Amino acid sequence: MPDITSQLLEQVLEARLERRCLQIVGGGSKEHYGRPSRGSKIELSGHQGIISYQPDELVLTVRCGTRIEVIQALLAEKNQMLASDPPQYNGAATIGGSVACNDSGPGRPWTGSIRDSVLGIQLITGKGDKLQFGGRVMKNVAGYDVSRLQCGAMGCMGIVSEVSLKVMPRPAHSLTMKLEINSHIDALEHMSLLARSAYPISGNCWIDGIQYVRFEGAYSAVEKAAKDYARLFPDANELRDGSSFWGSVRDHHHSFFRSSRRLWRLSIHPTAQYSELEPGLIDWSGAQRWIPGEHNMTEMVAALSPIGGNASLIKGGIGEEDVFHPMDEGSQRLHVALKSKFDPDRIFNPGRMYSWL
Amino acid sequence: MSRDKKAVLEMAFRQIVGEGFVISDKETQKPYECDGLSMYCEESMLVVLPGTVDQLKEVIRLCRIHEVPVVTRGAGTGLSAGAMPAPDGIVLSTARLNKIIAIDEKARTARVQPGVRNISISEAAGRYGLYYAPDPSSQIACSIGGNVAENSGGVHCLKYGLTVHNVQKAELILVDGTEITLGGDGLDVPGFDLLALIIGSEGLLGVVTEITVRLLPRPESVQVVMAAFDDVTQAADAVGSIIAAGIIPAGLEMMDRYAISAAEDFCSAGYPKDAEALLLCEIDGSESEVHEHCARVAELFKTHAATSIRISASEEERTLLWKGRKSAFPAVGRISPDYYCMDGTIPRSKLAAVLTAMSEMSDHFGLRVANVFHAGDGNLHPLILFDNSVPGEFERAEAFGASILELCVSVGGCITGEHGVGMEKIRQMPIQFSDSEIALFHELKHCFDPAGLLNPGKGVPLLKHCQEYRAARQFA
Ligand SMILES: Cc1cc2nc3c(=O)[nH]c(=O)nc-3n(C[C@H](O)[C@H](O)[C@H](O)COP(=O)(O)OP(=O)(O)OC[C@H]3O[C@@H](n4cnc5c(N)ncnc54)[C@H](O)[C@@H]3O)c2cc1C
Repeated sequence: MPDITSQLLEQVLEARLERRCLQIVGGGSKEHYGRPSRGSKIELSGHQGIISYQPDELVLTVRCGTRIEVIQALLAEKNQMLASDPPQYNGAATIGGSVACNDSGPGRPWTGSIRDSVLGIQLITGKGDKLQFGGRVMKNVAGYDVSRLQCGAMGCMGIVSEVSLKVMPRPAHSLTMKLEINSHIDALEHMSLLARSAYPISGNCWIDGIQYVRFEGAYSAVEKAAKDYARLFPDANELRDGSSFWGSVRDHHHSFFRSSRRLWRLSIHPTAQYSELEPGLIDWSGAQRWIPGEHNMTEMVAALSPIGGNASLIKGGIGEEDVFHPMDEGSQRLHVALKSKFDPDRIFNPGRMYSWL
Repeated sequence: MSRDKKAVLEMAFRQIVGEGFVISDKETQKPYECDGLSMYCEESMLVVLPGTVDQLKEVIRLCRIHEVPVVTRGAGTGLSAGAMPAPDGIVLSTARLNKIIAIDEKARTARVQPGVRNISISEAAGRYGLYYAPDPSSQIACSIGGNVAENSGGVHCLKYGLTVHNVQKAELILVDGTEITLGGDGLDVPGFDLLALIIGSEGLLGVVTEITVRLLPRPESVQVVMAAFDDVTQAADAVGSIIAAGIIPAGLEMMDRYAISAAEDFCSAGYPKDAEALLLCEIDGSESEVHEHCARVAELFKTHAATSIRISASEEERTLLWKGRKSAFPAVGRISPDYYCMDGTIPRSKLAAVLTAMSEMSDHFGLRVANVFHAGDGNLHPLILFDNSVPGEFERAEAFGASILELCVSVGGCITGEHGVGMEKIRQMPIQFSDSEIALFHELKHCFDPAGLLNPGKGVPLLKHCQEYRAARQFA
């Protein structure tokens, strides 16, 4: 697979010279995420390939256009994986886009986000500089953590052209139990109870009146957890095809995501309760909730303000509407200042994250 | 600093924090002159100890108005002179901000003030069966604010992560008085990950005034497997084989011959003193899982020609086996008048080569070196033994240390895994970073602290010095 870093640098320098904006595109799988941007496209899907993979160091370095599916398949050969289990969206999702959106799967509260596994990056800034931060070792505290700063930054500071990640062994065993729980309030109570246990949980989600819990880890520990669970909740039973269920939640194939309504995602305190915002899907043991409905951002902010948390509009954004929760003035000022250092001419993804960024 | 300015400020600070909490005389300031790296010493203008966050904000406001440099200080256990005072500035101590504000049992988090000691969090969370995972060896003393500033790790970070993986939210105050919340009550927050940026920023960007950490449930069972080897490469390979087998130990530590014998003399943990390398591998989880994995690890040690293997049979035995490792620093301190602790990281596969090169350097510099190693995550702590009372020895130890850091970078590692750059490793920054990268660090700092009042002169070298350093190395 080719290394096209030099072409990317050229494109950035050219765009800068012409004062032309660039929309950074990986696999194009996350067009639903964020606001519409403007400018010509800079395509990263051609910048693919594994640069190095050392299974017994648990370290992988890849080019940003490499697809998650490809990476997971390669790691699986050595019984390893990207623990954050980023969504694959029909195979289109790339590692660069997943880093830029800090996109994680249902195991997020236990196995961490992609941000947690990033060790280092190569970054192409808006000045056309190619910089290196972090490294290919587990620990590195020299300089500021510019690598993790790019996670979730949606390309607003630059193009993450290469990334080094910590990988993890695949669990030896996985088992999903399901249990009927009608109300979301009871489901939250149930999740909170489970969260306090020391069982090897790696998924805890509620949808369509059913509670799903996934146990993963050493064989004996998983079996014991499932047995204890079945004893405590005699109505629970094992879900045969657990991996396709969790895949459908992760990749938004589940019928829940097919509705044509607007869809909000809340990131909140796992036990928080909001009477006016009824979730259709609760994931991450309560810390992530999906709310279908026609609310606007002002309403969401007002609803969340007494208890905290933040809202993102994932589907159904109209025109110029802001889709991410507003931030305090100080943070906003820092965002603008940081953007101006990494991308002084504001060529990368203008407006993709916030209208003012 | 004019005497008048000092007197004026002293009075103003006393009005904010109370009579007894501004230290101006030389004698009482003594303990604040350095951190854990006592070779780097400086006297500050004043030491100020606010008792509330509001007082702290007032102190910062005055410093901004009068352009007084601020060095925030937690417990002063840092090992890179990060908390060393600025001569014309104040030391802002968080020692009195030591309250655990709340423990949220359901969300498994603790909200704490920055001066809280690391171990106090686990002690307080213990009653809910929870604990805070990152456990630096200094945990009985170091503050959580210092941990955030250094992104500290501990023996358990291979499995449970560093500080950055275990902090959910923090309150930060900038020198210009801006207060911001980093992170949130949920797991992810839209926008740039400023929380990640602040963690490990060594007090250069702002003062952290409150921290919410994640807690974990105590594992049902914990055991440690100890193995001795007469060859370092075998020990390093054994570590690789555990990981390749899909086991992530809770802790995985290695010690070399010098460290083993120093630790054994210090606390009689039962380490075989004739071994070239010793591995301590801790497994935690459910009863059956721990049993299964310990057996597997012992087997792998055997295939890698371990000369002896011991599995802890009781909690007392486990504690004893760890005691040697945990007291390795003071143990080495006993066999030498002084020691200098380095903190490089390397890919584990390079361990044998690095140790060999290090022993050649040891001959070259005429100084002994003992090694303890977070083997699971490639973080090496060479302890260089020297005698500060012998003129020139510390300079030689420093030169030896610098060579070790260069070696680490040359094999694909970095100059600091967990202790930070501070004042100490600032000269080595240009080995790891290019001028454009360093320039960006300065710009980043400028976004938060344009007047450069926080921890001046630390963390990021001036570009001019980078060029000088590189030139000097060419001719070395
Ligand atoms: C015997 C010994 C063993 C050690 N073992 C380990 C280990 O296993 N792992 C490890 O990672 N480290 C270890 N250390 C290093 C040290 O303990 C850590 O770096 C620790 O986090 C420092 O905390 P502190 O409270 O002492 O910080 P200090 O030394 O007081 O300060 C460290 C830095 O943090 C800044 N700072 C402190 N508080 C704040 C705040 N509230 N806001 C902003 N900036 C702040 C200071 O300005 C300074 O730059 C060890 C040290 C010793 C002496």
